[in-house]
Amino acid sequence: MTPPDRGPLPLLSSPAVPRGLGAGVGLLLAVVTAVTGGAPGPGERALYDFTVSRLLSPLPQTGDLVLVEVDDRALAALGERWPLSRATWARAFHALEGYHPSAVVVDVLFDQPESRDALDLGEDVLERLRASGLADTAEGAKLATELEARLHAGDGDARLAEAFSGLGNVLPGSMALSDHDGALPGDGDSLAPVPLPAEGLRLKAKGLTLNLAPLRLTAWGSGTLNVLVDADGVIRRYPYAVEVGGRAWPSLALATALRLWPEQSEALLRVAATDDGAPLMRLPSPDWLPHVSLADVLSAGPSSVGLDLALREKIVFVGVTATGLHGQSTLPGQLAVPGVEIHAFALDNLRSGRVLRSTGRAALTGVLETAVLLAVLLWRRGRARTLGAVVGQAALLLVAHTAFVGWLLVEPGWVVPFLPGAVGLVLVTLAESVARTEDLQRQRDALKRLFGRFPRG
Amino acid sequence: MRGSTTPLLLTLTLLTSPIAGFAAEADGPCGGLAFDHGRLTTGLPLAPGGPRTEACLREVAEAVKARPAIRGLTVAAKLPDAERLEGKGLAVAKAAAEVLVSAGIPRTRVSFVAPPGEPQTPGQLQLAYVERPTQPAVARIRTAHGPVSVGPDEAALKPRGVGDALYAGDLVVTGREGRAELSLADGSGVHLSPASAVRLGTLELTAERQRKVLLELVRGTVETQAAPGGAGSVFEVRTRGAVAGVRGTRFRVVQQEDGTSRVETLEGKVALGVVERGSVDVGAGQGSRAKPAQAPEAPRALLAAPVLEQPRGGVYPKAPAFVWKAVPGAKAYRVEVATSADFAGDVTVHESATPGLDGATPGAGKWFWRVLAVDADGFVGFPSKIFSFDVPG
Repeated sequence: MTPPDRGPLPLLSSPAVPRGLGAGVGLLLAVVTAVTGGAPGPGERALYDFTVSRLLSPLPQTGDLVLVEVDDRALAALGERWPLSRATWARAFHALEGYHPSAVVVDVLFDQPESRDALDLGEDVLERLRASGLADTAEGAKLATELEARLHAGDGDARLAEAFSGLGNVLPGSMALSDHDGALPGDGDSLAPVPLPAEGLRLKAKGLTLNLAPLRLTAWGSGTLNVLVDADGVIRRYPYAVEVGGRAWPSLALATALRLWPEQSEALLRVAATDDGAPLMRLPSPDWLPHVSLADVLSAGPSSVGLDLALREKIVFVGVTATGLHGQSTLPGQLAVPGVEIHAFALDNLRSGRVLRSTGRAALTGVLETAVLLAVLLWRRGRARTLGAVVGQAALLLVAHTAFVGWLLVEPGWVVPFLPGAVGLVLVTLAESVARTEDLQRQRDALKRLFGRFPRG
Repeated sequence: MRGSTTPLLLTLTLLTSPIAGFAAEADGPCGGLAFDHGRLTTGLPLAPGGPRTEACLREVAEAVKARPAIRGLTVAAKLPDAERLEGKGLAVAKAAAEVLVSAGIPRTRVSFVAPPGEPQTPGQLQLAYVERPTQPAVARIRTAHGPVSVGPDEAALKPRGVGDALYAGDLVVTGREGRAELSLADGSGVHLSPASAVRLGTLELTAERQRKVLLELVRGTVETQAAPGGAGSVFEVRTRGAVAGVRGTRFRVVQQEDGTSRVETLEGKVALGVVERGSVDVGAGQGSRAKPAQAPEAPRALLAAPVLEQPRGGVYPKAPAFVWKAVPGAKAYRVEVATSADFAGDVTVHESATPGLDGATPGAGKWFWRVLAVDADGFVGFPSKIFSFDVPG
């Protein structure tokens, strides 16, 4: 009996080709994920988000971080619109000073001076008052003194600098600019570069927007407010440093940690350097950070026991959470998270060292595990006598793959791609089932032909 | 629209007097002053008190008063904790602020603070200022080679580098070996030759793509590449005696020391005018000049681009001789040798009376060269093609 004709390209019609292609697709996906920045790779972000937000246990609550928020109630109580005046900010920081927080981390950038038109007008009036001689009279002198005091109080930028100085531990945000150049701070500035290899950082920018010089002079430190937003609008990675001008500039979380725990700077920088300076964040539960309204801080006196308990010796984050004013940041499984909370999460991740890693050894592990997984299936399917046995082995490997990926996520905090291995297993199994079905069909046809040639009777 | 232009209404603009500036004395009590992005730094560390500190603060006050853009000054006393606590730091800062007030700065503009000092650092006073809301940059330095300085006037120039922002009113000056290329906010380019100075004037842009660019050539030569603008756009380069106004073209303007203004148009059309003396349209490939208080001369043809003969590529064991074909009417030739093909960086310029030059290459490396013919009146013609060659190290 002549073997069935397999066409002009017998190699391509061999059942080994689709099996190899299936395994190749899985392996290729793993390699692509590794070389394009690590997991979660294309197509598995939703799966990653579900896993880290629902299955991975959230970070435990910590007692030393607290958020002082500019919420709707604070705006209503102040009667001001956003952005708040510098004089109001100065009042807020003066109020915080009474509770002696260990650091005040501000998710606000004060880069432009306030309008001074009213103060200029007041100064003109004061000058003319003095030039006219009216200030030489008792009433005129009183008026001039009062006007000068009010003008002094109305200079919000200067008052804010005084408030920063009074606290002595304020860290306002800066911003890295990706679209145009900005000034780089000089030596001795509150925003100082950190000893991280700048060239490999995931976030790169062209310049920096800085706070006003008097604020920089009186601030304890400063860091960038930038976050990394994936193409689907979700923030999964926090950039602990950004490359600008060939140097690495710290984020707000890293700058705060280095100031608070200088003796741990080596370990902190090592964690910050994970995944090219932008590791995947471990997420907390949604109500993880205690909130205190700025309205309460401003209205309560320094003898408030409740606020003293909430703020004394705490790391106080200050930011806006009022409806429609804070950045609509989306974390995996959490919608509309205020940006200031992301910096707090990042600080907690950094000090605990519990960040997730998806590059380097983790990425290599992902590729190797996918290769081993597919090699085992290709080897075992040859020994399986039935298609059902092949499917059973594939299912077993899929379970093992899921368990391994999950274990890596929970224990060492490595994020390896799930999809490449799963896709490879499914494709190889499909190819095997098609090949076995065709083989069965060929045997059936051969039997038919045999019985047709030698009919019974 | 490149190549087409409407002659502009021209007026002779007298040079404005330089902005009153402050030249810090390096040997003064402060050892020099620098205003840099809100930080006012002194050449010598400013001790928390003493006669020198007081004298320096008075010098600071004079400098601040000369800068109306500064609207607030903060004095910070950064002292070791032992000297700072119990209000001592604030008292030191207040005393310094009082010196500034007594020197003439309004009390409402001076504030004082005493933030924690850096560990193991001796106590000192630091100063910061707040400017009025910043004006948008009108240009940036795209390339710079050699000395390039910017300031409000000649007395207060500061070295600047690539990427620095430039603002309306800034005077950009190149040294004898300096060159700079500026990118204007409207997309135009301005190339400053060595020993040139240009003041950036108005740069207005509207949503209708209408723009107004005014540059003032104080001395030397600028070559501009004006970006196309919408209807009614203005692009003017003013010299002491004339105005060259264009739309969408490429031209050079030269301000000679004797007051003569010269225009050489490479693309498009330029209107060269002197108020009450008339104006002429200088088309592509033409040049014209306006002597002081005289009408612009009739346009003349610019000299053609020289044809380079050698070197035209290849590797040479030592600096090769440059040879090109003579251009009729050329009185001299300008040979430019550069390290980059855009002639924006390191450029060496040689003059030759004959169509050849020997020993013009500075050393080993890859070199680019081109030649421009110059006529008897100093009009520079079209540049030749650019060729390169290598000299191994």
